Amino acid sequence: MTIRYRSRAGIIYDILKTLKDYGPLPATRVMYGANLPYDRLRSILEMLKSKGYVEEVKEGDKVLYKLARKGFEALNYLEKVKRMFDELGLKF
Amino acid sequence: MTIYGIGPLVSSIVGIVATVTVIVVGYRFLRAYIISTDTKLLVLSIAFIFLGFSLLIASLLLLTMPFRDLMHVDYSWGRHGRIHKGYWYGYGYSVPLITHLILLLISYILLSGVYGVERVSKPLMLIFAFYLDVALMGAAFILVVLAFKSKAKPITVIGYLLLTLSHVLAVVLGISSLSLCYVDAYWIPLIVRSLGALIIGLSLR
Repeated sequence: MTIRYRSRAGIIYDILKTLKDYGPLPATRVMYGANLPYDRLRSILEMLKSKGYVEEVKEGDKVLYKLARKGFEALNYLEKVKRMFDELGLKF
Repeated sequence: MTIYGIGPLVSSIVGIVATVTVIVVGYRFLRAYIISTDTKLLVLSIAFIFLGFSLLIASLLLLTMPFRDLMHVDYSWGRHGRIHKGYWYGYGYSVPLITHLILLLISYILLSGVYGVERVSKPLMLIFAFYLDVALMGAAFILVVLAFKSKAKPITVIGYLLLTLSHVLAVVLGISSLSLCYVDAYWIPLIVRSLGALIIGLSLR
């Protein structure tokens, strides 16, 4: 089994992409989508929420996360940077 | 303007275009750093911005060359100064020149460091021990090898190769980077260097 190394930017990209493709999602689903342990995900989600990239939505007693408008822009930007990393031969 | 000044002029223009391209790349990495707070992006951003400013400084220096006959600033810097008496050369010239080289070296080291973190375990700081020209050549060549080993796109490797070639040319032509003050052919390595940076910058757009 090979372990795929991801940079912090790569992890944030995966979280934002999961939310874009399947959101709004509960944190556990984001965890599986982005392939991250729960505690790590929580801290990154908090950071993304504080920066306005991710919004919290309450659905009954569930807390869901969805991509904010600023999050779409951030995702587009990270996609560009991901391509730049490929060009440079670096892992994203 | 004399025909003698066309080479430096063309080189300067290519250098300025390369500067803009490379700084845009650096800015993109900086924006991505602000989003993700990934330090690797910050290092890449600084590396590209330094590369850009380094090229800008050299280009602006060369840009003065076509007009130097008009300036008639008499300057004597030991024996060598007399060879080019009447040109705008001097200590004021060497300060930005050394800044150009230092920025370039830092840029190469940072880029090597980013590759190095992923690929090699030993730091590459030993290159400080070499003479500046050889260090620049070595650092640029390390970039070529690391980029090749990392399976970077051929265009990126070609860009790094041109950066290396520019330093090889400087050494082979007997033009120490620090003796730009004496040698008029320095625009040849610089144009190759600028083309290398331009290719990398354009490939990342």
